[in-house]
Amino acid sequence: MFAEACALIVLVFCLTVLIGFLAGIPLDIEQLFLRTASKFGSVQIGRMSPITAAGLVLVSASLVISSSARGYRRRQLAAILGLLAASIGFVIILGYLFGAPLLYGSSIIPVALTTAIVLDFLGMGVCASAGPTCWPIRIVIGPSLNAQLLRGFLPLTIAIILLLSWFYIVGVPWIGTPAVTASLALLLALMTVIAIASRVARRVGEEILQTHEALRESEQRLRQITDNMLDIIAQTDLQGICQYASPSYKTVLGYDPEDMLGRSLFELVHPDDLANVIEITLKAIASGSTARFSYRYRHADGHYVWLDSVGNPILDKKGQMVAAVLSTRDITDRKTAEEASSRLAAIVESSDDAIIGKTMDGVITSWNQGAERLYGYSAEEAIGRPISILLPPNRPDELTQILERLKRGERVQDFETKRMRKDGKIIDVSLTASAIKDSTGRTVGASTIARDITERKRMEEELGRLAQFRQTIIDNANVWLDVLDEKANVVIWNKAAEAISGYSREEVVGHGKVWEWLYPDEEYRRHLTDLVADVIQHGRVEEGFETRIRRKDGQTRIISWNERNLLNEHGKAIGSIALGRDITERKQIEVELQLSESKYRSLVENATDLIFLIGEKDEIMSVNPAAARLLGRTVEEILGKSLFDVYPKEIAAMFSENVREVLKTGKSKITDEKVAFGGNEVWINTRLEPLLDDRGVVYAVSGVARNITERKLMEDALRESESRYRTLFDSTNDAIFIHDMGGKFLEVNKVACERLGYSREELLQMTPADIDSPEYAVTVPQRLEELRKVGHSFSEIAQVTRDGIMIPTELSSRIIDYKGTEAVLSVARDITQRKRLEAAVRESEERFRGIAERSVDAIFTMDLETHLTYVSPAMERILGYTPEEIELKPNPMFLSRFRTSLAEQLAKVARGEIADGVQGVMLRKDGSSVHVEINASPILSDGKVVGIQGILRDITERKKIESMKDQFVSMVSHELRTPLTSIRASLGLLASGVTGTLPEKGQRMLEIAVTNTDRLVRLINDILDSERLTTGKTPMEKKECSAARLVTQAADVMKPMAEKAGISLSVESQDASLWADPDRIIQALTNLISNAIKFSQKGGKICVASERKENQMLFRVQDEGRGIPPDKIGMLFERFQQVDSSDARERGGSGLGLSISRSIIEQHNGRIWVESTVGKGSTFFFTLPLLQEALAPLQPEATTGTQRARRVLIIEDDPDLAKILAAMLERHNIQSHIVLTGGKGIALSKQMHPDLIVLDLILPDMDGSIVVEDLRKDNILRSVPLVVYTVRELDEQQRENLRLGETLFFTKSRIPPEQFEEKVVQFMKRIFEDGGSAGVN
Amino acid sequence: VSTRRILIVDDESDIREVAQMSLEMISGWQVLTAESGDEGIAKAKKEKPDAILLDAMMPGTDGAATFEKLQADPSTKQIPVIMFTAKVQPADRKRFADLGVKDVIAKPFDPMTLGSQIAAILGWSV
Repeated sequence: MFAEACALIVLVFCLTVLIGFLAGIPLDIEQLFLRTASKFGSVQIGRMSPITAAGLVLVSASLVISSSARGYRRRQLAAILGLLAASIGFVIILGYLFGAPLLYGSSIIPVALTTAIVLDFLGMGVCASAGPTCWPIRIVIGPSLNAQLLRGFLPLTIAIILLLSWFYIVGVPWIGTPAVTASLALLLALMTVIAIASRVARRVGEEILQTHEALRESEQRLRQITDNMLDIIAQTDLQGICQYASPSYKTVLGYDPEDMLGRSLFELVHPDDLANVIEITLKAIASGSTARFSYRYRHADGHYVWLDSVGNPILDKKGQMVAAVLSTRDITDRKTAEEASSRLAAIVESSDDAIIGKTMDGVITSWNQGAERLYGYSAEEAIGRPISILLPPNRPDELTQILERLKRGERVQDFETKRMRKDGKIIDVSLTASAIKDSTGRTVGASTIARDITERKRMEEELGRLAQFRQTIIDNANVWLDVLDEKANVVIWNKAAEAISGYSREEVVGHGKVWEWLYPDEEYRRHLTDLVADVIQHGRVEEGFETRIRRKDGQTRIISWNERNLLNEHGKAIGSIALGRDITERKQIEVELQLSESKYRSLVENATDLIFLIGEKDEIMSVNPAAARLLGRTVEEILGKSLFDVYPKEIAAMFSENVREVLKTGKSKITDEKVAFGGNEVWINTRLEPLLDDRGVVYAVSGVARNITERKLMEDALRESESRYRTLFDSTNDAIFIHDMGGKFLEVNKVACERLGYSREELLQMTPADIDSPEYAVTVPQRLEELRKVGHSFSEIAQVTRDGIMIPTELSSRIIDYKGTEAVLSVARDITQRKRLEAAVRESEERFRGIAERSVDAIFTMDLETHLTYVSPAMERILGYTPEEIELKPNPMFLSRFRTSLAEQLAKVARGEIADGVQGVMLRKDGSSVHVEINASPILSDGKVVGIQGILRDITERKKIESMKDQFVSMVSHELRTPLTSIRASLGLLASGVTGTLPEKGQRMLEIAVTNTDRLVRLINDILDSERLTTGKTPMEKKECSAARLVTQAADVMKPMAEKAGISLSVESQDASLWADPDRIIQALTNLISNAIKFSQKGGKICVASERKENQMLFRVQDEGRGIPPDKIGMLFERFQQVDSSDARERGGSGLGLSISRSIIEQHNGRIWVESTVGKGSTFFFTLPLLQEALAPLQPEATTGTQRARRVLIIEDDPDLAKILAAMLERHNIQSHIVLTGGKGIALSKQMHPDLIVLDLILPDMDGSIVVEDLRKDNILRSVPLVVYTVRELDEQQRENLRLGETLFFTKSRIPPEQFEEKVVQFMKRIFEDGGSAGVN
Repeated sequence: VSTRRILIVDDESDIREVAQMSLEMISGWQVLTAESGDEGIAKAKKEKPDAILLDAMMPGTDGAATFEKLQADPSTKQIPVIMFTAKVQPADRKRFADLGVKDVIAKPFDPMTLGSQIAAILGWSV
């Protein structure tokens, strides 16, 4: 820090001087210090030269930078600044040497030579201190060749330059003026030499480096190879000292290769092998050849491993061996295997057992001495022969079996069999055979070890017999017998021991665990173990000592033991023998005797009853604590006292009297007495018993007294309740019987007596079987049995009165506790009335069923959920389902193709209405369809609908006929018309005379033909019309029309006919709007007018009129014809009816006109009738509803003022229909907006957010489904309720594609506008009012 | 006024004949006949009649199909067609009207007025 501050001060100071000089303003800083300069007057004040200042600025700046900065670049800058300063100094020195004026001219500001020298050294010093790594410094002092040359030549060059300068100054003549040029040339030459020299030197250096590198790499590669070899590679000198050891030294021998360096390799060789190794080594050295030797070598962990080494000599240039390379491999495994196999061979040869090798086909390959001894064949005799020579004649297959087992990889162990010796003797042998495998694991042969066991077999049999004998004796002893060895392990355990302990011989023999099982308590067991050890060790005999054992099943038994030790032939103890007897039962009896006394005492002591013993003189001989407690005394205080001493006098006297009685009579006595005790009344129950002495004389009385106050009170209460119960018992309407489990009546009530006509006493002598009718009497035991099981029973039986009258009875029985015993309480209800009713119902049902079952139509009943409850057999015929199947199937009523409409109709019926003539198609069981008609009505009970009954009729046949008829009619209409067309036209042309005139009579005939042809055509038309109208085939195309115009049009049509007949036709019409099919109304009117014309006289008048009557339009066609007889009026409107049958011919009518007219009017909800007076004329009337009426089946709803008008958007391309729909909705305070295209509909929907949209599907610009699709994209409109009103019939899928919010579908042909209004208004009401807050906006 | 030329297309030869006679003798028009839809179309193309009286029910190409073919062909598109049929239920009339025929004349027809009916429908002066 301080160094920086000093350098900074120098920097600032010198900069000030420089600036002052450059700006031309002498700053005169010295004035600050030398105020008194004037005092010295003549003294010249020295000034710093600007060049000095510049040099110092560079030096100080360099110092600042180098001391404050760490960065390489900064320090480099500092070094350059230092160099610059040094250069300035150098230039000044040169100036002095060559003459300043020569260099600088005269205007130069002088710098002292000494200052320049100082500056020079300062600059160099600063440069050096900036750091040796900076290039300006490195150039001079660095390690590069450049720097070295520079260091060598630069001082010399500078010295020459300076010398030349000095020569020049002193004026050596042969050097002259070009000194400067010469020195520059010298400098240049120097630089060139340095550059070339360094280039050459670098190239030579690189070559040397490359050679070194190649050498190093090759060595590295070699080292890597030896390092990675598994074998140990080592190099030794001729004395065996290790010079190199590869890393595998560590893995194979456990020594670090480094540690081996300098050690003798011989020192680790096994001493036994060392001589051999050294000998081979010496030979190899002498001959300079390769040596190979195996030897044992000490591993780092001390054991010896077998090594195999190959030594190769390393020769010097003269071919002298100087070292050896040893390549060594661990062969321990191989050596071990070799040793083992030679050992084995020795064993085999010396074995006593016969060891035989053979091939897999049984040829003997080896035969040891044991085999020679056992079988008698020598090795020479046996080898090469089949092994079967050893088989006894009766076991030919055995060998194959053994070989098979070996082939499968199994081992044959201790297989006992028989073999035949060379001398023919059969011997017992035990065979162990195993497969011989080659190095690939393939089985190449087998080896068998056979041992002669003939002697062993004989011994075993002998021993077996002995053991059996001993066992029989032991087992038949009926005492527990066990024999233990000296460690108390079980050796023998007989059957009795098994039976008593529960442990079998197999479980216990061979160890001593049984003692832990028998004596689970450790301490007890140790005690017993010590005892047994004592017996065994010291020869003591224990007799009669008892132990408690725990049997295997957990029971405790007590055993009495006799035990003594067993000695071997040397008199040494080898175990013990024990005999045990189960004495549990005997012990138990002893213990129980002891216990009973103490138990009895404890009972008395702890009894809550008072127990005492009183002697002849009222003295208390014994008393229990409870008795003493009652008196507030201790037992000791009372004993020996008189009754009178301890009880109040009255009680004592009473007691005393009773005691005396018992003493006297010798009989026990029980009393219930009320005594006053301690201020309370207490009931005491006392039982006194005489006590007899040995001679049978009573000497004392024992007593047990008990406080029974509580019980007495209970009994009183019970008695009271019983009397109450009795009243109830007698006053019920049902007969009540109580009888015991044997059936004897214990109690009956009054009703029972009255109903059956017996007195109570009589009944109490009887049993249920006596009053039940015979067929039920026999079931009494069965009923009792059920009661016992379940506790209660319910049955319907019949009882018989004394007079023999049968009473159907409902019997409810249960088991009760009656006065402490089990009894049966039966309540019998007279169900005569009910039975009668039931019979009546059954009969009626039977009747109904009879009708239903025989009906051709299917009859069914359903519950209100429309589940079938009954179907008649005809259902099976119609639908194919049996009544049983129908119950299992989903309700087939709903298999109808018109499920929904049927469901609606049934729902209507469930509400109490009647649904007649519901037609539909149902599916039969076999999948075919059947046309049915259903008439359904509610089943009422007490005015409430409880179910649905109905008739289902198969109308398939009818439908088929109807369809055939339609086809027929259609065919007739065409086929008849075609020839008629030709006939009519031909006749017309003939009659017109265009083909030539005819005679008058011919002309007349032609006219007749034309008239009748016309009539035939009309008849055909009328039949068709009539047919279509009556079957409803022709839908009315209703629209708004004017009543007056209809009348005028009809009159205009008929005017020519009237004129022809000479009849005047007048019209009187009032006008009003109607909702009707104008063509059809005109047809009806013309029919009526045509009739009127036909039946009017020439010159008659006909008046056609329309007139508004209340809320309908009345039409009238009045004539002055002959009138209709009253008896004909009734059938006038039927088909093919005419007043006079001759009319058909005379008047040319078809007899269908009025029938057609009626159909038309009725389909408009109108009425048609006639009023007529014979001779005066007839008037035909019909009415039609006015437009307003037709469209107003509903009264407009009264709307509250606060309710916002609902807004409906109608998208309908028919403007007339749209207007009508709008008008209808207006009346319900519903605002309607009409658009005629889908596009406008979408746009307006998004703008106004209607509460409901009415949508026609066939729109001029797009299909309605596209409108729906578009609206679904809008989050709000997606859920707007929608009414689709279309001519299309839609299937389910199509409907699904058209849903928005809640959506209704109306087909125009099915739902005419007037119903549309009703349905839409109901729909909106449901959504917006019932739905509560479901307001849309 | 040049004579009107009418093409009658009907499979019933009797009807063709009486209708032809009626139009020729009563109305004094020139009449062409064809006994099937296809023949009618061919004749219409060739002869370019002033109007066509077309039976609705014919075997093979029926009236409706014949009409559609006539409409589809630019050379016959302009010829007015009147349906000539026994099917005169309102529904049938509407169906024909929807197809685009000028009108429907019912069979049996009155030979005396057939020509004037056609003239009235097509707006021809009689």
